[in-house]
Amino acid sequence: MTMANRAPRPQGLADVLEVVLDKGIVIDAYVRIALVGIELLTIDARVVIASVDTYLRYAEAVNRLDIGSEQKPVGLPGLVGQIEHTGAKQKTKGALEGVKETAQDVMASFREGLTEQRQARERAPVSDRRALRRGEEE
Amino acid sequence: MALQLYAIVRREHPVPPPAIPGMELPPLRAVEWDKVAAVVRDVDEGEQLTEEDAVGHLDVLNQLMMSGPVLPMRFGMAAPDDDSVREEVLRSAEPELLRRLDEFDGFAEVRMDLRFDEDAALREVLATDEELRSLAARSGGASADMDERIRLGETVTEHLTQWRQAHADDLLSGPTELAERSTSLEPPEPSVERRAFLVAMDRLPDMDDAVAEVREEHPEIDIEYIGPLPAYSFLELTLTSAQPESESQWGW
Repeated sequence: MTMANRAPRPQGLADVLEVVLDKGIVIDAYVRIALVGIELLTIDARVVIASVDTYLRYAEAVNRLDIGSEQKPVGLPGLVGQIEHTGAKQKTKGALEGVKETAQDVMASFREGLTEQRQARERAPVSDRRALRRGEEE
Repeated sequence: MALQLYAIVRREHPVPPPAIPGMELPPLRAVEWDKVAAVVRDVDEGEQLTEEDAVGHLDVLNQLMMSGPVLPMRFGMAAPDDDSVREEVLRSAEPELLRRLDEFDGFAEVRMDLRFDEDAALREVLATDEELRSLAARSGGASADMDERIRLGETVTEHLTQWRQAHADDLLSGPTELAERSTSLEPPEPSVERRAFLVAMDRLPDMDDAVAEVREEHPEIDIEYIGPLPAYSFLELTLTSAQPESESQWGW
């Protein structure tokens, strides 16, 4: 019996949120009223953080795998506060579809944050970064 | 008072669904129109949904699925009252909703996350791509600025994505053949391939076997396998602003 290998829903809260927020029937503006309390934008910001972090991580990884490098890339911890701040500001938009639109804004401010924080930091270990992405999973 | 919407079902669908011991659901009721019904919960206006509500949303859908086809609403959809649900969600959309309920009757979605070994994948990608190697040499070094490094990482991610999808196509040929439809979903990270399969409920045991086989042959790949879910990835439906008196418009 292989049933035990299939789980009824994703293990992590972040993955559950992706299932229920990413797809499903959407009702346009008229009938919908905002029931937004969950930290939707925080989730979105988390995704953006994850993607920039991922790019930097892969830039570092190919460097390490291919030509080797002693340089330590800029880590994330110092930047998270900034993203959360941006998130809180944008959250006043409230509406569900506002979330995706602001992803670009978050991204933009994230890039600004990066430029401001050129000085290299110790990079967080993988397990920490996963925890960051998955946020308040517990 | 307001309503949180969970799903659209056939009118005869039991709501709330039969209780399962140890699984607590929010207090659900049905708002009916002709042959269809919306599964809703009464909430206070301005009530804030929590992460537990998101988990609860999926649990509700899972249990509803045990009694027949379910069209899932995106989490967070709400309506001011019963009449607006009848008028704007059910009445104007009924033919399409019924058609979709028929389409997914007897089918479920299962998902798989294939987690590849990242370093091994990157080595393989680099080994087969001269251009990427020289880009890495130019933009990955200590002198490269942040933008260059982000661009390099982006390119690496694209190549890794292609590598991963090609491998997944190969590895998942068994499950893909068993499924009615399949699609690649946005993964949580580039070394993970996330696929959704629409599969007949009565073929789920075969699907389980096929997945077990892949796992057995490729113990180096970590596979998360979940389901049955409502056919989320195969249903794209937007109910566009239907004014109460006018004909509704459809888009998907």
